[in-house]
Amino acid sequence: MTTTEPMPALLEAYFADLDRALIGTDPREHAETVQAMREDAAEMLNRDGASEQTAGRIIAEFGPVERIAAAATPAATPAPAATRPWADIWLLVGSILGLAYFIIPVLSIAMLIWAIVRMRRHVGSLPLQKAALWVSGASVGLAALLYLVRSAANF
Amino acid sequence: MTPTAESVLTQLRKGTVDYCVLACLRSGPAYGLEIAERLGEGKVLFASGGTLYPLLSRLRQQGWVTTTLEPSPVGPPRRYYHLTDEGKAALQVFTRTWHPFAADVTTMIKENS
Repeated sequence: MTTTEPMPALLEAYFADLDRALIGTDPREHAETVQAMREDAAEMLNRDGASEQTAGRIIAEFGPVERIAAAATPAATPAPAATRPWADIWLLVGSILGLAYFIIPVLSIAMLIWAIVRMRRHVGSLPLQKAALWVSGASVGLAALLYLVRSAANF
Repeated sequence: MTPTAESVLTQLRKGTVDYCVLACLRSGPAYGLEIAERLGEGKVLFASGGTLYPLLSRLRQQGWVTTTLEPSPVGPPRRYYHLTDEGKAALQVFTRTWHPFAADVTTMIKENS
């Protein structure tokens, strides 16, 4: 008897159950487990006689399929795709634009507030938020400095 | 919650039975049924014989054992498991670690019982 030859119906049903129970486990481990168990079952059937009684004893020795599945390694789950923190990217872009047009600091002030709000909410990318905070802060600072210089000149 | 003997055994088997299989192969290659018979005698190391097979597959994937198919006097060719040099090294490390660990556990249990 080879492992490809039919086995007693009881054993075939057992291996079908095992195959189903191993769904969700490491595919290579799944295939090797079933193959090795079929080989050993075939050896026992040849040694002790291919009867339903022998099949029952083999199943008792192997144990419940759920227990075998519990001993197998779960299949690796794919890592979730990294999502780009678009809100923080736009926050930083807005801050840089605010720096470019620091003479009118409305955009910089808005970006500064948005950065603080996002940091306090603990969402998104903290490095981008910090960068936006510094850039917006610098823009507002430059605008304030410019205002003070012009006020002093007019005075 | 008081653990059952089976739940304690399940925890203890994790990380130890792999090395028992390697130790089983130290004396020479063996096929699945042979290993199962050697390890399953006390019904302590394995909850059921079938749980050996996923473990053997893992050991092979780790490179700690290799397999060969050899003719059998009864039935289809037998899949023999051989201990590799890497497997021997892993077993040596485990053995060195296990002895003081087991000794400390035994001492603690005696002192506290």
